[in-house]
Amino acid sequence: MISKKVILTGSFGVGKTSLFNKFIHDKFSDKYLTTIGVKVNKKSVSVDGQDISLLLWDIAGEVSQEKVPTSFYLGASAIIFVFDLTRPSTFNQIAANITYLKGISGNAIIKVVGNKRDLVDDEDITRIKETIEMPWDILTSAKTGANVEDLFHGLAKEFI
Amino acid sequence: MNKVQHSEKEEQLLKKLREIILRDDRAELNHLQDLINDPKQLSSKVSPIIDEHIDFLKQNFPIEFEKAVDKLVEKKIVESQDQIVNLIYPKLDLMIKKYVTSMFQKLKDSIDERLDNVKTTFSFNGIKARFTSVFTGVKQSDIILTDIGAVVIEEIFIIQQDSGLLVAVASKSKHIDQDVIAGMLTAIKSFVEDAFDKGSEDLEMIRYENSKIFLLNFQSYYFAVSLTGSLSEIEKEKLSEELITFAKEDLPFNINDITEASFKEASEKLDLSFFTEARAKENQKIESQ
Repeated sequence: MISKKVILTGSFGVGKTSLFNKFIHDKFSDKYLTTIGVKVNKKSVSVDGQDISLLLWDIAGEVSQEKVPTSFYLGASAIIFVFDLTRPSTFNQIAANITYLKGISGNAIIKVVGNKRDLVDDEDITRIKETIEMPWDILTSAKTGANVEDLFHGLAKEFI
Repeated sequence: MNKVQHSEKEEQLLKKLREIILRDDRAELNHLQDLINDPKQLSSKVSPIIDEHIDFLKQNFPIEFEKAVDKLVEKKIVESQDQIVNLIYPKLDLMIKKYVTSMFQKLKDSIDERLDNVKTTFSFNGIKARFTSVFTGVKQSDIILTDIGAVVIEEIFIIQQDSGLLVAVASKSKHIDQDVIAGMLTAIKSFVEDAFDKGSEDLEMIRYENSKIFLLNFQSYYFAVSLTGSLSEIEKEKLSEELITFAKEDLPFNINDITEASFKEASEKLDLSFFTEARAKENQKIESQ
């Protein structure tokens, strides 16, 4: 079985741990508990009959990605940058954050994910799309589970 | 003459008048004198008052006297530091002595128990210890003492330095979340190394009570050896040498390319090098007992 290291990063409170828990345990909680340091867990997904073990690193949220220890990103096959659709401060500096991540992660796949889709309507999405510095890859809701499996399965497909 | 007689008469009248006026007071005075002179009577009158006051003091002592006592104690401590140290020191000394004695006793009991087993049975360990003692000249008890604090390797991980992915693993008993352990270990290692910003220096040991994780770092991967017991410097060197030998002889493949086959092969070799013999010895030990 192939193993791949996948990093979940982004500002605090954007729902990284909720996505992590939804994908790993199929659980969601409204209670906000800040992540201390990093949390590691794994889940195997099957793509076209091939099993891939995703080793997920849920990193404590930081407003600027430069504050995250760079060694956490080493050896990562993918980085998922999560932002909160309801908090512009989490995506205002998105271009700078992605440029920084590209610089330190080598060939890792970088996915931009807008989370908390359940809390915004289509009009909000249109408005955010017009103002955000770069396009997102997928919009998710850890609460309803919308697109969570698709996000990780999509990544696993790209690994093969 | 009449004047004198008159004066005497007046005196007597005054005396009678005094007696009449002071009769009650004198009676009261006599009663009080009797009360004071009789301890039983005095006690019955005074005790309830004293008791009540004592109760009041018991309940309100901190409120009434806290500041005064604090000041007094503080002053006394400052004035008699040397005396206090002299008073406490023998007690501390005694407590430490008691603790050390009790620990030695436990150790001695453990050794005695083992020696008894050795003497009374023809067990493999017993014969082995006696033979070793005869041929090496080392006391039988010393051989057993070494056995008590022996290092036991519980699990060995080979982990990719950057990603924290598991290259190989072998253990005494199979652990469920070996991938997650490898990831978390790498995260802790990265965090500590980043936090102390030591550049090329690496985290070498994580301790928790009697267990510890010994880390041996290579360029692209590291060994994490989970063990129990007391690891001396000599044993650490020996373990490092064994791990280096294993790395040289049994990890020929590209460590950055982990496949299912490479994981299986390396894990089997690791198990063969570090656990197969130990497992056989343990089984032999159980059988001999």
